[in-house]
Amino acid sequence: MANHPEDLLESLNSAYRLREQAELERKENEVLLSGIRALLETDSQQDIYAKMFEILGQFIPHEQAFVLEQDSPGQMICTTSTNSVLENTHWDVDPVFKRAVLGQPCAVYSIARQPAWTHHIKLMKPAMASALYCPFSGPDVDAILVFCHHEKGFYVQTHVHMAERYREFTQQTLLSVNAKLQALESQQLKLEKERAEQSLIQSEKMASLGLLAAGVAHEINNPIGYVTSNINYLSENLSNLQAMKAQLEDVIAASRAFPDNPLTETIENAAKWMSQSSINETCEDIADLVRDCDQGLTRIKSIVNELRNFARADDDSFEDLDINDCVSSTIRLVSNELKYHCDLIVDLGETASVNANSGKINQVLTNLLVNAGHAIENKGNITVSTGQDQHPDLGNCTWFAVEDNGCGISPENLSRIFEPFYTSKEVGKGTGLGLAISYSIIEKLGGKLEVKSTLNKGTKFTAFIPTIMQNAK
Amino acid sequence: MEINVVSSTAMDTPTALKEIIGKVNGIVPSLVIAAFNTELDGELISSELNAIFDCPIIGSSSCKGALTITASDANASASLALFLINDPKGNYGVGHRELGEDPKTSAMEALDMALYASDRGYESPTLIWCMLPPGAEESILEGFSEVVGSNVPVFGGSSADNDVSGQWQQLTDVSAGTNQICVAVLYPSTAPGISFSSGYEPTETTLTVTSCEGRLLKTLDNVTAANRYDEIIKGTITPYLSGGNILALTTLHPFGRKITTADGIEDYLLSHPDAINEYGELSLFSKIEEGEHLFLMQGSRQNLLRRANRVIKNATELLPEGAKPKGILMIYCAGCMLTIEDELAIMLEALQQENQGIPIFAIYTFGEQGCFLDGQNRHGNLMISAVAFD
Repeated sequence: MANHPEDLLESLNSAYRLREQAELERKENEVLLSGIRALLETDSQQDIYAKMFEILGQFIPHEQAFVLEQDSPGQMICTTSTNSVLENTHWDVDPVFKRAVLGQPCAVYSIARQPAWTHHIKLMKPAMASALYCPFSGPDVDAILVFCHHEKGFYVQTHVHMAERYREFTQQTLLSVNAKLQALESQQLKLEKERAEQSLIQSEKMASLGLLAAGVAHEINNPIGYVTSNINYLSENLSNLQAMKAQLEDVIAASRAFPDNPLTETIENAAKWMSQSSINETCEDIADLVRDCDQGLTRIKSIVNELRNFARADDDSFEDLDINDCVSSTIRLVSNELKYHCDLIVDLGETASVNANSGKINQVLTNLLVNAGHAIENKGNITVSTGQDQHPDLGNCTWFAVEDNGCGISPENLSRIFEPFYTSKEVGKGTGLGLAISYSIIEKLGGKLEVKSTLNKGTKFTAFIPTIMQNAK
Repeated sequence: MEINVVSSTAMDTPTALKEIIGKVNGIVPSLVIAAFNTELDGELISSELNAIFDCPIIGSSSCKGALTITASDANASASLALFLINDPKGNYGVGHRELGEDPKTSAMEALDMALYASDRGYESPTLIWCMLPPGAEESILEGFSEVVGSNVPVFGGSSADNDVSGQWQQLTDVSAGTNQICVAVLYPSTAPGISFSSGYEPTETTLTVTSCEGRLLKTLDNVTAANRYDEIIKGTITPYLSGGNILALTTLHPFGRKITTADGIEDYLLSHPDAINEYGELSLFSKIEEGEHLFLMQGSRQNLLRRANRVIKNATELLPEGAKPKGILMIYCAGCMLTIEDELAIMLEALQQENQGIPIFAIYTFGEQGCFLDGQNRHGNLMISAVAFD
């Protein structure tokens, strides 16, 4: 075929494109290696960024560059920049930045069009037109590197692929290097211990609360018993007292018809005492007080019952459950609330039966799904998945997970979300009990409710429940 | 990603649509690219496809039908054909505008519409695919460049009818017409391999454009263009020097403008003379500038028969290592197709043999848009392009 001159030209063109591609890959590989070396050698965040700009700049041409780090839900902050004016500026996490936060590099052909740039574009001097967003995960950092160029549409998919390869490579390498280092320094063990301690503290906290509730209920129940009984006795006998008073009044009236009666003086003294002591009013007051006490006791009984319900999730009837059935029925219930702003992705895997109460599992699922919906401000995805796996502490478990790509939870809040009455929602919108109760329900099944979250990236709750085989052991 | 190609050979629109609909059961595409013989009704095709598919649709008439190859079927002149991309993780959008008085502005508006519809309108598309009315392609490419810059690859073709009488059509899911700029932006979940080539060889004969106006070549080397051209192609067009259609006679002898990459690699942008007017001026399918140096290019029927496979191979080689293409989308110059029309069966067989089981879809066009080796998007003639989807 290559004997024809036209074919030779075609071959030459093809070889040219392939050579360009190979050259690009060679450059990329060089950059990847030097990038990793730099990452491992640097000891400060600023140093890492400076080296990243220098290294990535070799294959991603740019005229300005800066770093956006997660700041608060829906917001990022510029922490480092080649243009100092940008430092400490706040950036909205719009849909393009959201994709970058979720790990997908993006090339923007005109920053003037992207809403997140509205307040910042005037700060770019000299003026910039296009940008490339590279997600970057380094040690203890989750950021976006932003490269800018004055030419409109300068960055295209070739740059996106380079950035993607770089992200994947550095992330994987860092993960493996970190794992090795941790193993060497027993860091892994230390972390496991810390995690176990945290889990224990949380369990203790929940158990204490349960115990406290049960104790309080018990302690209050006893006095309530005899107070109720006494009030009932008073209520029943108050009419006798009132009858006796009426009879005494009759006797007084009768004795006044016979003034010579030797008992008249005694009876008059008694009548005088009754009048002075306001016996009539006293009887009416006692009747009112008894009624009030009765109402108060009814309220106390209701509160005690609620406390006992909170403390004894294990009192309900248990059955062999298919978690996938629970997921399906819960989704039917809550999908209406979520469908307008969330795409619900359901990925049900193979699961073994668990011994639990379906109502309680549905309660947990509902709570997690509604929370996920609240975490998504505009439009997002919620993924509900199930499966079966070995849990390091629990053995063979069936699990279900609810994951959203919403605003995420900041690290300082993440450690408190299972605490009763802790809520990040607006006043009046959350009781702060949903996650605490969910945690308690799963804990009482011998399972664990775990959470992972990154600010502006999303949150994943996973409930592990030992399978029936495991329970039998 | 999954690619399906379906086609019909029925020459009345309702029957062709009925056959097509019977073949797309269960397919949920993310983008549909349609090609059809211009004897069919574009408006009806647009409305019927819109009723079936909940996705963007872009299409054009194709000279004497379209080429389709599937695992079970091959056809060089399908009356109606669809290239269906099913890529739930990708993003796709289509826009359209009437060409109007200001093609550049219309192109900008059509592209804006497509970007908006893609849901990723702020990001650079991986590829822009266009179906254009012939006549103002250079201005349309300028318009695209004005919106997204000049680095996003633009591929596509100019709609063709069956006899260059201006009966070409374009359509989208919500529009159909004869003078519409239709454009799709593609953000596929995997990077495609793309190839755009002429495959013609330059001769030693060169000419200088001494007078021209847009696509009308008035004089070459200060001689009436038709006479000078006839002289160097050895009297091939002598009977038409006072006027006439020369499209089929000049396919193997187009003009070429040299494009040199930064590395010194040479490529040629071809211009195809299609007619001579009463003044002996040559009209071309692409714009030319005064003072430009033209090479007389030469091609052969044998080469035209082989080129489709060659271009597919080039595109496939640019896919990630070891990847097998899921489908090939092609633009094939209608002039080239007409030159080898009697031997299309040979080309079809060769394509089937070389690309076993891979769905292939080609539109025959009156002008081709693509990205050259130097990274610039241009409008040319007698070109073939292929996009290999992984």
